[in-house]
Amino acid sequence: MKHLINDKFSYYCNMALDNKDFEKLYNQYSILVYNLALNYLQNIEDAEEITQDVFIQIYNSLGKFQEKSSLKTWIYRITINKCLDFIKHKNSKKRFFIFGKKSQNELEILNVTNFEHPGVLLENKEKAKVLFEIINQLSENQKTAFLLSKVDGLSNPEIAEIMNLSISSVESLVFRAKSTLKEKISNKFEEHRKNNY
Amino acid sequence: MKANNWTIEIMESANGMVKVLPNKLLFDKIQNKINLENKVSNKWIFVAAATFALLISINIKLLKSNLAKTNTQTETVISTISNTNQLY
Repeated sequence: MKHLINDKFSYYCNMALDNKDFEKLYNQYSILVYNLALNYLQNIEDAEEITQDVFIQIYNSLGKFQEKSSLKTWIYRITINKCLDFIKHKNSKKRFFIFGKKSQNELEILNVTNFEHPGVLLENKEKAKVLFEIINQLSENQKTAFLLSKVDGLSNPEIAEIMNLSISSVESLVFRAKSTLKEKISNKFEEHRKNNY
Repeated sequence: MKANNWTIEIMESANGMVKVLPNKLLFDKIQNKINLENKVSNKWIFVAAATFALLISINIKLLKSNLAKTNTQTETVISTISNTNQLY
């Protein structure tokens, strides 16, 4: 099967990574991993932590990996899984705070909604803040499909390969994500109007 | 109408987003973590090997002492039987 996302996978896969090769691999994919984590977690420190974890996993398991998918797809999957685990872990902490004593970490969790994405154009900052806040309310699959499609600019077949779904499922996920976002944004309009007038 | 326009503006606010570069020190942090992981794992491998060797030597010792005990017990029984010629 010819992979949709081509790269020099075999070159990296068939060797024990030395420092230079690992650095080359890092330079090639770090921006992809970091930006995806940033879009997902909406926190710079968390995105850096995930980037570190992803590259450590790549370093440890690249030798064992079979060429069933392209390297880029594999890196996308690792990043998405790490982000989802991170969010689950954070949410479980959040639930714990209901019973336990409040700590500084809770403030970190609450800061997610106030995040200003450093990659967004200056004139769009305020609007993008609202968009990312609502993206966070989507289901896991819808959020992944939407971010990969609209923010990362991947095609539906590429997303289907990453998410291990059919192309029609991805199309449906992106469509439903857009509908949910539109609905939630228009609900937010009243709140916005009250604040501005 | 206003609500509709606002929704479109929000939906399109992520257009033209620029890719953000990660911190320059991030690669060094990753390498440090990998080196640390390797050091820790070697240490644990040594500890595991030492524990395994210790367990095997204890087992061998116990087996040997058990075998010696059963031998002496069998000899006592046989000598008692042969002295009295009484079976029961």
